[in-house]
Amino acid sequence: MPHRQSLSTLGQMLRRREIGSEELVHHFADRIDKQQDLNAFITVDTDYALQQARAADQLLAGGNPPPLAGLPIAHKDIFCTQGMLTTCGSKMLANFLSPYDATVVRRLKDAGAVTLGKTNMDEFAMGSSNETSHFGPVHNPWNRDRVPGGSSGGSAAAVAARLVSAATGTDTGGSIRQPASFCGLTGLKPTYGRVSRYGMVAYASSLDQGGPITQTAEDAALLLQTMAGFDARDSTSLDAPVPDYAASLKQKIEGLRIGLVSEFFDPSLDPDINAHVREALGELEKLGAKLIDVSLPNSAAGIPCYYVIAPAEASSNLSRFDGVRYGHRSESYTDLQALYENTRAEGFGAEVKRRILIGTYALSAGYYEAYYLKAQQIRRRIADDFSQALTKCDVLVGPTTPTTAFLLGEKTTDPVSMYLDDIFTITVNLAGLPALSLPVGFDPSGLPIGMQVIGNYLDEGTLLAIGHHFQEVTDWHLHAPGEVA
Amino acid sequence: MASREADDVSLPQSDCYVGPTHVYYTLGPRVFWFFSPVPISKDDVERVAHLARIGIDSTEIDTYTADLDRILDLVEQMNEISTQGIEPLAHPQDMQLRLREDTVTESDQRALFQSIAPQTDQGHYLVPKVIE
Repeated sequence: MPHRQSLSTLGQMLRRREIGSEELVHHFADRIDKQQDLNAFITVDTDYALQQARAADQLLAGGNPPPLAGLPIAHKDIFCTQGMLTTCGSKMLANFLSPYDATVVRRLKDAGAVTLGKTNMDEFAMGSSNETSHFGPVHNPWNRDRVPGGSSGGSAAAVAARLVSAATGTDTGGSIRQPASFCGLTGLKPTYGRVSRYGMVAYASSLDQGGPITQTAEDAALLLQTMAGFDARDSTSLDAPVPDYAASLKQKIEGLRIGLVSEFFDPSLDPDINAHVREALGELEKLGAKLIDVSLPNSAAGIPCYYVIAPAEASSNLSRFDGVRYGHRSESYTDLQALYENTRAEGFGAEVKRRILIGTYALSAGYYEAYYLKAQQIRRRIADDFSQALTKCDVLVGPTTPTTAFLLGEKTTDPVSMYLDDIFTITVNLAGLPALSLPVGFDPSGLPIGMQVIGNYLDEGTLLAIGHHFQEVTDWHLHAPGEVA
Repeated sequence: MASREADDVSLPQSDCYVGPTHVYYTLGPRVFWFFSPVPISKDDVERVAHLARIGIDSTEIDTYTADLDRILDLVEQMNEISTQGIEPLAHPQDMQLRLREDTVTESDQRALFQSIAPQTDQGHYLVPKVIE
């Protein structure tokens, strides 16, 4: 069945002409249609997908097709796409048709990938459960009463349910890794600056990073190869060479030093999560890796620090939504002030408003030093902790999340309880390091558990090698939810 | 209140407990408080809402004030860490803004960009009159 094949395997089948892209689009479009209850997609455009597929089939027949020719993917609805709406899960952009493609979209398109649609997400990427979307919550395919994680919940749900073979996501505080963990998938947040943010609607500019959500590390390497690289249109893009990630997968991990972060293995950690992560580490040891203990002493400060910096940056980034040039515009206003105030009151949901307000407060006169500057100093401490630890080991590991997928509605009454779910992922964004979440098992109720591997700057290759070798000796990544026949 | 020199030579061992709904961050000796936490008031919220140009009506103000207060409680935990003499980090790799040649590289696409605007006229975006 095509939907049980990894992206890489499908690619081989397409190139050997064992299957056509048009056929794949019909197959996946049908699956998407039958699982609308997951609410993983905001926009699905089968006609447009078929058009792309036919073009891909021509390239495949031609004999020298681009690397992703004909492969069915989806984009998180935060990436600007010319042919389809870009809503960011918000009423503010519910009607927004971007006049340009994001660099990530353009590169994947040029590589021949076929986009089936735009996936649901927490509004403007603010959330950890995909419950803040204007278009309704996404359901976890492993258990529909539970959240898929967020903010890239739609992408994760779509890949987990095999409605597409892979999808793009973005990660500001954990929004690729946490949903990947909750949905039994592989999710990569690249080094800050590795993947262009041009056309990726900005939430927190010093933290945001786009990346792949896939079934395997091999697939993540395949997508990253195309997504990564310098982009003159992104002023924070790193002008650093992109390695051959497929070759990186074969890197030996014998002798690799893996640092177990003591703060991530606190005695209060859920015992099932602890057991599965330890078991996974045992597999890596069998492959020759060495486990050592390290500490990131300022870990707990990550959450308060992030919830100053991210909202502050968001308050600036979202000030562009004013009803003047694009997006929602209120119909009730008598003057310019009212136009702005009503447009923004109507267009934004509650969580987005909370973060803009907190961010504005933290940056306002009299509070800037106490909040924003303080947070930036703590950010330096956190980044230094990582640098210190990474002199003693090559990568750091821990669980991706403190819990498995929680129930829909369980954390929506208290905003802060949701924030605490990011405890293991958030410091990675503050430091700008790359990190990979891998599926390492299931809890007693069948919910996926994820392990996070954090690397040094621009060392995605080592992370992907660890993931690949791990997936060659285990089969967690091959599991799919019950109905995925 | 016990105080100690807030220098950054080395932080005391900290214990981090992550429980179901709380993160407790404890330090051995107490750290001198630089900034005493002040709860956020409705006036603060109104002021900030105005700065952010988001209309918040009287039925919502109490909820937002309570929510923001909860968030600020979380944020106050930052004050448990000494940051004396620490350089703020704005970019993960301390990158400076890249410069390019001062040459024209873009073309006029105003018509395309304005095709999705709510209200335009002769190349201008229309908004309610500002000057009386």
